[in-house]
Amino acid sequence: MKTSKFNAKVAGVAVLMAVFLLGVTSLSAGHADGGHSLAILHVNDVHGVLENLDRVSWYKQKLEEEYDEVLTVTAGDIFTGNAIVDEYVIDGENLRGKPMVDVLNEVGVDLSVIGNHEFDYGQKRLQANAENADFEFILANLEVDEEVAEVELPPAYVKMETSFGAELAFLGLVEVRDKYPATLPTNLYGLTFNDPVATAKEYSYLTDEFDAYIGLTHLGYEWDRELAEEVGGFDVIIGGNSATAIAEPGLTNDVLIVQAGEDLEFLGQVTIEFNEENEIVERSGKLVKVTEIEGSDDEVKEVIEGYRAELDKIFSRKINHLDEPIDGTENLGCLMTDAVVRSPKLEEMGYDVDIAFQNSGGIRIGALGPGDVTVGDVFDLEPFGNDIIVYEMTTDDIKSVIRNDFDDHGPTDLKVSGMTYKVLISPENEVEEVKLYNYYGEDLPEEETYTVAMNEYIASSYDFSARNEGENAHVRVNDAIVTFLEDVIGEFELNHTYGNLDRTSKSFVGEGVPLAETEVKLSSEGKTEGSTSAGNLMADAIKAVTGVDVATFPSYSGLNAGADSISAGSEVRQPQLLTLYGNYINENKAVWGEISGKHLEEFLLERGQAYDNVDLQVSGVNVTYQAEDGKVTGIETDLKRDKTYSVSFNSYAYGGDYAPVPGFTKDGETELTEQEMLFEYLDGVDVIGENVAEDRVIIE
Amino acid sequence: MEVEVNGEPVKVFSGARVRHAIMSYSLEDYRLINAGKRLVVDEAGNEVQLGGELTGREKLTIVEASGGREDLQDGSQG
Repeated sequence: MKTSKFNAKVAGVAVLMAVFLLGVTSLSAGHADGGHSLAILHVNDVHGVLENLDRVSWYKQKLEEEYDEVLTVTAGDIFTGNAIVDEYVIDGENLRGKPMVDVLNEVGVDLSVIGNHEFDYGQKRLQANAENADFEFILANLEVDEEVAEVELPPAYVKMETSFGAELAFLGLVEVRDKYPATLPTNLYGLTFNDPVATAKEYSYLTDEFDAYIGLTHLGYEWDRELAEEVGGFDVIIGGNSATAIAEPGLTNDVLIVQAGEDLEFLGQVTIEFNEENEIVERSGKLVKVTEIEGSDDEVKEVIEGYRAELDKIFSRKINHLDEPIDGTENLGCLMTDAVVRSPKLEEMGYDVDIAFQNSGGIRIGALGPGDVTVGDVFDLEPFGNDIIVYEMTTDDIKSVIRNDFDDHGPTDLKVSGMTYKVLISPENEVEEVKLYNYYGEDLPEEETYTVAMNEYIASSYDFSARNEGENAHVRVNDAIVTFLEDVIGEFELNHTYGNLDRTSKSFVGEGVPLAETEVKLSSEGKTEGSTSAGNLMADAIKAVTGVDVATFPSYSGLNAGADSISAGSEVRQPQLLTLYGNYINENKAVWGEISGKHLEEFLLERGQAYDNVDLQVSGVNVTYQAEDGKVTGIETDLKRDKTYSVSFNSYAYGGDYAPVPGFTKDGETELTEQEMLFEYLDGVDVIGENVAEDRVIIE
Repeated sequence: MEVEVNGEPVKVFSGARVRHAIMSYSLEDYRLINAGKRLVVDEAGNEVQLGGELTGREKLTIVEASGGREDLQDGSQG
């Protein structure tokens, strides 16, 4: 890396601006007492977000008219999180991170601490990005073995002199957990990371040598406070890593600690007032909402736009080819999980992954190909950038993942690699047994433990034994898929593997109770896009049993989107029908009462706007939402606004998400659960008719 | 690793972020936070955004937000 450089600044023009932005009163410059003011703009955990850096630059230029000196720093993690930065491979040349550095150069950033994610692209890329940067990267708690490492030792701190002669020192520190910062450990060869607090103590003499001593840290707010308590001496700690948006910074052991959230939602501004002897007389900090900055630096914007225009080129990089499409969640899920099991990165890290899971809801396209498969296709398939979490599991642990999946998402929602499984479902729609097999159909040995990988969504939101025992491998699922398609699986194997796989299956124990015949297909597909026949059926059942005018049923929690539909003309049996609904209906009842048409319409609008989708399935009312740019803006119903209606709500949602429902007077709660109401209703129905196929809720 | 959300212990994997603790605690709250209806604050009352890395010492609280986010989305993968 470059040696520490001195950032001499042209003296700021002292211009008094009373109020110039966002209604924020600016601090006066041009002090009558001969003092001076320094503004330090800071961002952290930007994670590749380029948008709005033009606004930051504009804001900086405005401050330069007002303050004697303005510096701009980042508190780490400028990389990872945005495809244009993370996947910047042009004509086969790996230039990951370059777009962010180029934009920060144009903004005129002065300094950055090295955050944990700065290592994500590997040491060569960190070195190249540091050499490309017009600003300094610093880090004090790092030792470099020059024989092994491919990154040069950065300066521990830099000193700067302001235009008015104040001398500043910035010390860089990064988090260390179990020896390393949170990144791929395989990228850290030849590097030793020391305890940040102990390191800071070694440099505490700097506080006496400089007019202002500033910690530029990527530790997190809790750790920054510990640093302030145990080391002290800092005038300011500008932090990152915990994504804390400190709107009103306070003093801890006489240290001002600031941090500005993440993803460039906020720009932090520290103001330090010096007297004539360059002694600090005042410190303060605030956050500026970046989207509310009114101006834009056109030159920075041009650089950003230039990179945005290259996104198509990056996403169009061919990584394989398909003669026929791979379609359906089963086949696509098998591909995604195979990519994890066969990930070279995970293998390099010492994970010998036996089994991988992928939830159906996280598979975001219906088919891959035919034709060239590109990086963009993978980002369409898995747009979340989920990290892979790795566990050591027994067969009981694995079964508990699948059981929980059934309870919350219906049978065989989880796609798998490294084994197959079968769920046996009781007539009561409960898991009777989960059977695990290897690819030869043999039972998975119960005495062994298995290395199981899953995405962070499953690891966080599914309830299973050993949930807290996983490790974040800091490898993204979509990155593993790109590598798999580009470097691991050849075109022949890809074209001959994912045609008609069936690694997950279910069967019902016994035939189940026949309930009725259906004239229409019963499905829960598209549950938040409009009415579904399964949703209408449940709402009809609740309306009939409770006798209310209008019945409602929650789309998101009540219906299983990935369940197999029941064909028109078939006999509906209990277990098959129940797979359309979440086990939510086993526990929840209906609250009923009275409400005016006006209040009910307002409630329905509020539910539509809660997630900008169809949050309720209904019976007894027709609802049309108006939407613009994906946002629900209005509603039309066939309710009479001055009429009083009896209405029912799901009991759990009524007490939680819906509360309070303005204008609603509760009269009671059913003794029957929603499931019991469905059975009672169908007991008097021979044929489920066309009415359940109605579009009762639509978004225009 | 264990952190606290709304006074309740929540177990998360090593290397988890704020969003993982919230998803573990309540997917409904996670959806509402993504939609800008609620937000997460730390012990000192500072807003903590979803990408923040956890140390295991956090005591997080979910509170009502005053307004919705512009980038409204429910964040669900279910």
